[in-house]
Amino acid sequence: MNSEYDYLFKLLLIGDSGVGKSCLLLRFSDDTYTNDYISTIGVDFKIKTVELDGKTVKLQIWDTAGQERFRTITSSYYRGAHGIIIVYDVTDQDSFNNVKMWLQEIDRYATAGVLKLLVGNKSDLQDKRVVEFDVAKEFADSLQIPFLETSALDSSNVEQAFLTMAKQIKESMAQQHRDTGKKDDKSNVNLKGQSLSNASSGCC
Amino acid sequence: MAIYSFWIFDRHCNCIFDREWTLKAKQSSGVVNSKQNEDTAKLLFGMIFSLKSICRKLGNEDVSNEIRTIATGKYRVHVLTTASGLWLVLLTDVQQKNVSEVLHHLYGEIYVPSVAENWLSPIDFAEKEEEKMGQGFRKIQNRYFLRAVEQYLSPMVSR
Amino acid sequence: MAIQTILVINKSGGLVYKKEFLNGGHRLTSNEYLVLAGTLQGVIAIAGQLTPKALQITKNSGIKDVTDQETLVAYAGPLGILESQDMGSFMLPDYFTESFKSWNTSGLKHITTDQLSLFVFQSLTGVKLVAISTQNSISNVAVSIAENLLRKVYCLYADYVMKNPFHEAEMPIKCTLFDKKVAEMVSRL
Repeated sequence: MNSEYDYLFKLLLIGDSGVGKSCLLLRFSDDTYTNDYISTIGVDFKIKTVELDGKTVKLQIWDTAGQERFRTITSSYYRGAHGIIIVYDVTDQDSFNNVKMWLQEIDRYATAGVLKLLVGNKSDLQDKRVVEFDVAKEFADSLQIPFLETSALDSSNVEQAFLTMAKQIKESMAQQHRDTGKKDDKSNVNLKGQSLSNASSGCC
Repeated sequence: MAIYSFWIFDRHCNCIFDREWTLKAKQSSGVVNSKQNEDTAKLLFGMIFSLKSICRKLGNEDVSNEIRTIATGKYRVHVLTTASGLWLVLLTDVQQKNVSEVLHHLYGEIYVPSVAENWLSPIDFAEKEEEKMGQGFRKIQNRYFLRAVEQYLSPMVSR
Repeated sequence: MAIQTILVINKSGGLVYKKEFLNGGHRLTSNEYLVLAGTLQGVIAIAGQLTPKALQITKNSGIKDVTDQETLVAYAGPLGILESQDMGSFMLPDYFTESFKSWNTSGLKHITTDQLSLFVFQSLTGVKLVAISTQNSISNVAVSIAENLLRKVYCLYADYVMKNPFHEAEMPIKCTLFDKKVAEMVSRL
């Protein structure tokens, strides 16, 4: 068969520059890439192949640059994303404050109903911490976005979160299929040629 | 023929010269070594750089596989990569299929004598270590070079 | 013109189809192709941003630009489609026999290097079809043949992928008929 994978999911990493987005997934991807695309075209790619319910799924992670000059271009990277991960630095208040701005960007450019995840990075630097866990947790809860903290030392919970996200995307796709199927049943296609008003009044 | 802009990038990913003509009808229009074009230069560099790395993977690795032209619906980018790692980039209208002669002239007849062989011109435009990763800002200021570029390209700016 | 590879990239920059035609040579892994597709997506966005100021100014002043004429692509013959064979759901010998307007007016169209050329066809819906050829020709003929070929691949895509009830939108294409028809067309080129 032509394709070596059954599903391709697009996940987007966003957040201010310097919050350590790229470091989060160093060990997560299939192979390590040494390219430095991110500083040139505003995006870098990491790919992880996973098996879900017997299907091969490629997670293509678009790691975007936070720099201003890429702002108009990165907006085009939101297109068709299945999941978006917003990263901030727990030692940098501004990066947390800007999360709101990133959420607005998502509303503007991404598909409605895209899965979101809030990640506080560098949680190992306890003495430099300025954004408390409870504050971020409350903020995330108010927006109904899953939240977790992580560090480059141990990013296994992020990897777990990614896999959970992949499962959710796959489930929501199956759900959509069922929904469209249902819609077809309810739709106004009438094979018997009876008039629709008759059919509906017959039900009541 | 219409020329929109001309750029030189050194081997440290820095733009060391840029000239943009903003009005087709006016040869003297536009800017030289403009601060405003800094971001444009970086994006242009990024586009060529990433396409170069794609093509290097696609082609036969034993033979050189450098980008010659990149055509879009509106304009065409022509690239000359020199052995010393310099990129000369010319943006023209889409009708110009091949301007490699122009690029070779700019390099061999203008850049080499007035900049490369000029003892007063710096050998390396990145003077400090931190200027070597695309962070440089120094430009070619040599009067002879600027004048020669102007004299050579201006007649071609508008057809 | 020898076609090395045909790619289909969905509107969000994901590689959903890849077909290599030439044996031997350097091959990319599937992950490398995914990176290639994503990079092209980025380059297409940048190419639009880099439109020279001189062009933006003439556009605003309402002067009709010569580049408008360039968007019409001439019909380049049946390109490997046999007279007797009907293509897909149409009952005509070919999908189209007239010159057509290119939808790709501002983005990336083709790239030439020392060894190869890469052609990009964009649909109105944002699907990108890419052909990589082992010749670095920039002649008008080669460009128009490539555009014609990719437009036909797009027609095949519309017929055999989009009309396939088992195909999931934006996901990898697993349609045997599409695969077969593309291979047939390229092999007769």
